[in-house]
Amino acid sequence: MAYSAPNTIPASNPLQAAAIKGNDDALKVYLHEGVDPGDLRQTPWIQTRHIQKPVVDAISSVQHGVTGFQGSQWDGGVLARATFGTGFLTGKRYNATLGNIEIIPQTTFTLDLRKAATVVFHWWMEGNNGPDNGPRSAGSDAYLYVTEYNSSGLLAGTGIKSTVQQYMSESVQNHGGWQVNPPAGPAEPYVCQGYNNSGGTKVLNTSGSLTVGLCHVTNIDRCVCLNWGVTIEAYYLR
Amino acid sequence: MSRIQRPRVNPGEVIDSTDINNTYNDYQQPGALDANNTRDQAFGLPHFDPSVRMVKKVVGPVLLGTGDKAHPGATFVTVPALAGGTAAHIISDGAGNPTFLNMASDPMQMVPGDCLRLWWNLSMEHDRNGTTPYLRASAMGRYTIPNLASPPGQVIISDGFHFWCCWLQWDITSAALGNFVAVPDQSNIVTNVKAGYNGMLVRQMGASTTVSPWMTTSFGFADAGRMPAGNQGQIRDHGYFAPYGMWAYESTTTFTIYGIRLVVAGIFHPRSDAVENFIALDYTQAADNELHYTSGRMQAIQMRML
Repeated sequence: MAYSAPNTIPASNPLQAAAIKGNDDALKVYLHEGVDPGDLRQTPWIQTRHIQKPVVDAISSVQHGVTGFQGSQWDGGVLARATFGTGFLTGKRYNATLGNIEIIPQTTFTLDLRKAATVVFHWWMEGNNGPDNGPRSAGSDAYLYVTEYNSSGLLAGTGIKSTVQQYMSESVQNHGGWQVNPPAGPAEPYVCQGYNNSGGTKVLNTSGSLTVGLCHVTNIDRCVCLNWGVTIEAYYLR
Repeated sequence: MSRIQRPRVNPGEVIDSTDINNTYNDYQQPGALDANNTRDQAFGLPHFDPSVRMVKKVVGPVLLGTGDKAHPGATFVTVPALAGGTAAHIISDGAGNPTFLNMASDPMQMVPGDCLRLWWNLSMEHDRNGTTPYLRASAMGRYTIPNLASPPGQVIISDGFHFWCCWLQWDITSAALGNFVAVPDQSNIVTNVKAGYNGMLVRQMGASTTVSPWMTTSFGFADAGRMPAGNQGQIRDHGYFAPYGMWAYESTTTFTIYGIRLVVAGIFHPRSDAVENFIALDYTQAADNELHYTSGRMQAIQMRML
């Protein structure tokens, strides 16, 4: 808040230490807290150098500045980092439902929002589903479903994850290329039908500690996310 | 205000209460502080004018399509390939109810410097019902190549470039939502976009996403421009996958958006003339070809170009 000396020194009276200390203490608070917006001249004069510099979290590659967060994670950098989904976690074969959600490693951001913000989370990935050679019936396909999840106040990958199943993006493996029983399994060698490209964007208004990332459901043995990227934008000014 | 400049009190000088009060009051400067009184990095989020907003409005997400997702057995909407005309299919719930960003009750007011950013994704698959439509007579992208048989015959192949096209339309006329038009940098299907072709100019496809129906390959290795005899073509259907799109528009005028929707049509094939590239509807693909879609979403935010 703006500074206002709590004590006015009266004329023709002994100077009291308490009055001086009170004014100094108030001054300390004022100078420590920073300038009150109401004290600033209204004619625009603030330059970039007057704004607090952003800080970077080198691990998550997220930058936090006065207006919010920005940052990305991707497969590149010093080392290529393929990530994955697997039916061994979410329900192998026909045991999976869209509720069996597991995170996709390395795609999560955890943000400590300083105030209510509009958060925009983008993702894309190029993947390769399969091969798997497990039994399946009637030549039916298997899918990888990917979508965003978010949770508040939790460490990444723990607790309840909020998703909307209808918004999921799916990709198939070896579509139409399955032998019926017996002997089951893929009818032909895998070529291109396990490859996929997908992406999405989630916008949410939230506050506090936010965890947002990608999760998946699949009944395929292994789904490799070869090339991928996730990007976060968070805006306090809304 | 200029920099605070009050002489220090030196030994031997006399001060009174006025001097002390003035010294404290130097720090009371409503609406007066400027660069002279400010160190670097002095200001943070609390100093920002709360009326200045980078994000002005968030709309959606809204469900596109049927709301069903899990395979097998997901409820889908069928879009037949066009056999003529230019009518695009409006993405709907399967009961004829369009699913779109409906802002009729709370329109988005755009002013110069505003930016609309929009994203969508929708699960789709193409179904050719077991046929090979790309090999039909007069199909675009169909080629005959001499084969190595003796006497030489022909191999019929396709370039495999057919596709569906999704694009965005908006209503900026009224909340009655009866005037959807293609968004800027995007056109609807144009009759005779080039002589004899209905389609779109590529330079007017700024809000489009194309959807591949199939993948064609050939096992035959060309030898001096000829291929081995026999059926060299292979087709592989993609199955369900998730096309997605993004569109951004910076406003230079004042207007109001009441709704934004996604439409789809096909089957197109790319073409070009001496002037430019365009896409053309290939009506030979009408029979048996159809697009299925289940569900997805659309959402948008309105931001300021600060």
